[in-house]
Amino acid sequence: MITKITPFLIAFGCYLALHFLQFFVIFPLEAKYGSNVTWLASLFFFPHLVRVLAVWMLGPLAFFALLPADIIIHLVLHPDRQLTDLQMLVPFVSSGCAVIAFELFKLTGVDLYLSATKASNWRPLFLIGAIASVINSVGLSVLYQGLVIPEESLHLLANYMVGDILGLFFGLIVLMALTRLLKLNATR
Amino acid sequence: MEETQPLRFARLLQMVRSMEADLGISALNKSEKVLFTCVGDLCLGTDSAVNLTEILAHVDVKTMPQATVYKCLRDLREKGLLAHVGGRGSGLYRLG
Repeated sequence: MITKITPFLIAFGCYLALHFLQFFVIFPLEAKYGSNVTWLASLFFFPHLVRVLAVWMLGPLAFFALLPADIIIHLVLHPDRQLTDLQMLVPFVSSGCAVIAFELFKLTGVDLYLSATKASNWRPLFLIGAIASVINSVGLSVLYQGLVIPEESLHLLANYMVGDILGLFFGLIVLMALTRLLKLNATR
Repeated sequence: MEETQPLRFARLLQMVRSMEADLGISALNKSEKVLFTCVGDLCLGTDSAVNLTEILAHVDVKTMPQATVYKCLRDLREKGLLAHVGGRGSGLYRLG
């Protein structure tokens, strides 16, 4: 039982930790030098990497590992938000976008979940990540309608997509560096 | 097929390695890659070790000179990608 839950706990922990890093370290840095919608979107949104990897490795059930982390961070960032606010749906969209992307591929006959494929390649994952990002961006832009002035909406949509995709790419680079570092330590 | 945690980790490493290869910064030579994926192939779905005989009989390894196989196994072990199971001469390997 514990063995089955552990990967979900790891996904939850990584997702939550990366969110905190994102909102309390990267966002303030970007706000200092970047755009005026940085409170909503980032140029490098690293938690997107965890979304894609978690769903790839754990399947659709990863949604239940990601959702609590998304709810926690949402409540930390917006403690004044009412349960009836439309923006309370943001965590559901963020946690579900990768699942939807994987399921859309599955519907077209291309099952890219780890359990369904023999080869592990980053390119299909990156494609899924990009599609998940589109789903997430459109969903969040709809939910944040009214909070962002219309001229900024398109800018925000583009910001979400660029942030997710760059976060995914550079997140994979960081993962690569980490595995190399671990290998280096293993040979010492 | 039930995914075990070491298998998930091995697949994650494989995925990262595919990116390294595409970006031209792969740490493994061709023979090492063949051997690593062969062990991954033989371990698929299980957490158990793979016998050297099984590795040598694998379709991708059969044509490889035995000396190369032994050298690659040693190098992959040193890089932490494979681990020896049991004593020195056991001939059993698992994903690192």
